[in-house]
Amino acid sequence: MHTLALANPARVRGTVVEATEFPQWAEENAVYAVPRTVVRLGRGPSGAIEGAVSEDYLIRTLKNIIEQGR
Amino acid sequence: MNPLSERDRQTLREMFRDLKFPVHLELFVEAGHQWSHDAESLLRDVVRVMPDLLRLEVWDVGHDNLLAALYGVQHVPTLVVADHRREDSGIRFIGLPTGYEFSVLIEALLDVSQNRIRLSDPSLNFIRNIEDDITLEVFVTPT
Repeated sequence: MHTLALANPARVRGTVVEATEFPQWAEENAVYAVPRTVVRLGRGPSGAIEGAVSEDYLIRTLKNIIEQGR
Repeated sequence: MNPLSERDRQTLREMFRDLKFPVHLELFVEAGHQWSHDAESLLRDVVRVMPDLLRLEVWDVGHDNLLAALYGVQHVPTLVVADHRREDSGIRFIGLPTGYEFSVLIEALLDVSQNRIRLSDPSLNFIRNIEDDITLEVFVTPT
């Protein structure tokens, strides 16, 4: 995910969270298996991606989330 | 927490040969917080492997709250990775970066140092044209 932030650091933030240190944060984001990527547009959760996914799948999912957020 | 072994350091020395420009690691910690202390110890060990190109600054959120707010730091330990101009790369590591998170950290340092963006042209074009503020939070565990 960090490569997405590098591609557009003004708009995209890529954060890796060690879930066991922040159990409440993980629970609030329904983290029952890892990796789980929560995508936020502005404030508030907007979508999530389960597991390690391909670049194509990731980009498609991001496009959908951005479209739904509009 | 165990510091890096000599074998770990040797592996990092070999990987860090690919570093090109300096990378700044801005670590936000809290006094008396065990994971903050462990993260600082680990990162000091990492930058010691290549001190000319990896620079660690440690900030206490109790004293350096303005800087923490500027970077949007809300948890400790938080590591902000910045490039050679000390510009925010958008990359954060929250929590002690061990296990899977550690290998992702090392890859991130290499990518920032080389300004290497591992995306296909269409994906890169899409990401560069995003006009919304997006945060991707990747939850991982140490194993």
